[in-house]
Amino acid sequence: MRVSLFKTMRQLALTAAAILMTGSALAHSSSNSYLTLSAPAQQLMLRADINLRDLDLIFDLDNNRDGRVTWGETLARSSELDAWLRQGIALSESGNVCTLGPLDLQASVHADGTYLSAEWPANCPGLADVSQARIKLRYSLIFAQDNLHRGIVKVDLPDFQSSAILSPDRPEAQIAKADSSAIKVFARYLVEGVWHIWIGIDHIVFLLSLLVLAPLLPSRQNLTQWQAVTQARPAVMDVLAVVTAFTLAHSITLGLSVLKWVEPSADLIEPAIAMSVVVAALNNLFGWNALRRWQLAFVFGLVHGFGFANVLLDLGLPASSLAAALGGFNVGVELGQLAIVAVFFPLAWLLRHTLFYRWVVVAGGSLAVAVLGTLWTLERTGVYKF
Amino acid sequence: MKLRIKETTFFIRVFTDLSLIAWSVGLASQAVAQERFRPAEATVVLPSSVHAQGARDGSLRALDKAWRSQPNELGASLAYARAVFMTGINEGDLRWFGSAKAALAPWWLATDLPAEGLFLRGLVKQGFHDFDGGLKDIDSAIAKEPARPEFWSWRFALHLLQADMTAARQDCEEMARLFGSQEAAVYRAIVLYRTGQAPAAIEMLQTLVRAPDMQSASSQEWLGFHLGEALRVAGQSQRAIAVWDKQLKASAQSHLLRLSLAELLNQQGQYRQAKLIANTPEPTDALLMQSLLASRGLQDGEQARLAGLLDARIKSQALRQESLIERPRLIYLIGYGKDPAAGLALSVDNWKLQKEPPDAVLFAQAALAVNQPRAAEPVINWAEKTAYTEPELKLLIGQLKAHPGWTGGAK
Repeated sequence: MRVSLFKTMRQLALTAAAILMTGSALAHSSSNSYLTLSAPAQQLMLRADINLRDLDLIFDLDNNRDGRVTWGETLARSSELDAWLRQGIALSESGNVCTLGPLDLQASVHADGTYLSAEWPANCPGLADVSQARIKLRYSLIFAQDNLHRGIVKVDLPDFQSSAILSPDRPEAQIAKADSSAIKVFARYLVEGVWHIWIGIDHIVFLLSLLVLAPLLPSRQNLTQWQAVTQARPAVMDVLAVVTAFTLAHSITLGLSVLKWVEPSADLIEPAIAMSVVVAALNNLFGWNALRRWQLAFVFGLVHGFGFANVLLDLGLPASSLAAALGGFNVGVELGQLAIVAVFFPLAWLLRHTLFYRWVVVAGGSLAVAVLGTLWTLERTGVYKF
Repeated sequence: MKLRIKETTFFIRVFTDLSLIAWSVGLASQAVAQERFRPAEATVVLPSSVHAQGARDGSLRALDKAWRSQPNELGASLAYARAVFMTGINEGDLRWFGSAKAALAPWWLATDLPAEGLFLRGLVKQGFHDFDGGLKDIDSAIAKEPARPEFWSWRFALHLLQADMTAARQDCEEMARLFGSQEAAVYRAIVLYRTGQAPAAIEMLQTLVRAPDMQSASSQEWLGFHLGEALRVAGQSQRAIAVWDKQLKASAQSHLLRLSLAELLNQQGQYRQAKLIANTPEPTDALLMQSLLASRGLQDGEQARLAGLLDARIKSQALRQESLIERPRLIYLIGYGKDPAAGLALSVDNWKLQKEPPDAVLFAQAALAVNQPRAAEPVINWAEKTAYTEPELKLLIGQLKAHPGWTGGAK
């Protein structure tokens, strides 16, 4: 029992010894395959370069058991390889399945060893102009044996180049020249902009803090004593002024930041956004008048714009359609913002005469927002971790 | 001042990230543009068959076959996952971790796994830098089967990796109680040499190396590695080299020993020996990096070829837009001096995931190289908090604090 215990302990503890140097223990790159779609002489060609190490793992290529694999041993398994490759790679164009022609098996040398290089002509029914192809490429080779494996796709068609990364979670790529058009890029980033403002609670809270007083008449009395506005026009104008100032300001800094003219650190911007929330709430509670609300919206809108830019940069910008991406994102942010105003303002208008609105929504809400903003500020400056 | 430095680091990071994106896009073509050719049938296209490496005697073949015939059968999957994980550790090859994860995929979110399943899943998780998730699974495995030494061994290792010295010491005590004082002595020695008491650790490890119970090949490899590490930390580099060199002759397949020895030889300027050790038929990225450093030291004319090879590997990995192994890239950027500013930005990111002495050393080196000593302040805080002992880091921390930029003077 004792001997057996020692043995088990040693063998596994060895691995634990290694983990103490994790960085050293993991010292080799992950596995990639390289897939290329090209069209020399208007014939669509598909090439797949797969590391022979990965093939050996699956096919156990070393037939003579001498501990190494020759090209002859690899070719001897051609028919199996062909069948395996075809079941793991599927190509279609505009919904029509493309058939792969005869397989040409060769080798290629990459930085991390010799690869099997398989190439087929792809025949897609009804495809007249290769550059206009709408291709769907599905790849599932090796994922079942190595969860970290990736298929790196490169598309090199006349007048259209693109790339994609295929993984166990995302084994399919849709590739079409039309998808890279400015309109498509604009639409994609527009959705991202809307989504960002909707999930960006700090932006929403800041905006609502500025709008919450719009249906009330400012006075020197306590906030809870402010009277409701009787005419819609000044309230609507107030809302418009705040929204326009905020929009204008963050559009300026978003553009400046994305174009790399001004690049403040996120370490500065994120706490500043949190502080803007605090200031907006305190402005409501104490009736500070040094800056009117639209002015406040403009000043802090500049800060929020840098925050939007950080998100946009994180999304990755297509260099060829930068303007479309920037414009789409900005418009998306505005639409998302208008949607919030469209929901909030009618409700505020309806409730403006009530004590509930003045005490709970305005006073209580501003107090809660001030506390929330303070907590964010502490967290984002690293003073306290929640 | 702090903010100004952080901002500069941010600028560097933005610049580096955009450069990397451009690099990746630009190199997408290169990565797949390799010429195709038809080798002669006798040409060796894979010098070491996967199934033959590390003298596996075909055991992996059998486990692989059993798993593939029943990928949803827990027993076969666990046996295969264990085998490939161990192979990954031994060969320093992350691809085996991917295989282990694939084998465990049907149970990746399962809550009712047996202890062995929880343990292996925990190992794979930590391998992918999910240290908290890994520790949680291993804790659950221990709760189910507290008498399994390997579970404790790994828990200790993870606590040490997270610089939780208190928990690591508690693990030592538990192991002493459950498995005997001799077993726990090795772990105690590790804590000692990591926290400034290397001479005591060396004495303990030397005694253990001679102990009759510790004469198996695996025990000697394990103890040999730690004895060498304790000697290195104690500043006795030549003795560490001698221990590792001797041990590597007995455990030639150990990637950890080979890499540790190659690194130390290069650090000591013993480039010829470093090149011999690092130069294997199919070097990992880390060994290739050490070959490159040795070649630069030797000026043997191979530097350009090796740098090109490493550069191509790093760029191929960049195409994935994800990476788990940053250290070879960090050494290339910082230690080799390819781009210290980019290295500093990468260090900042890497430090969020991985805090080991070699990462700390590289981070500090990068900060000094670009005259931003304050950027490495997290390393200093970490070193003070953990009391981790690393001779080179101690020197670097002194240099950081003595740098004019530390107090806000010259940049």
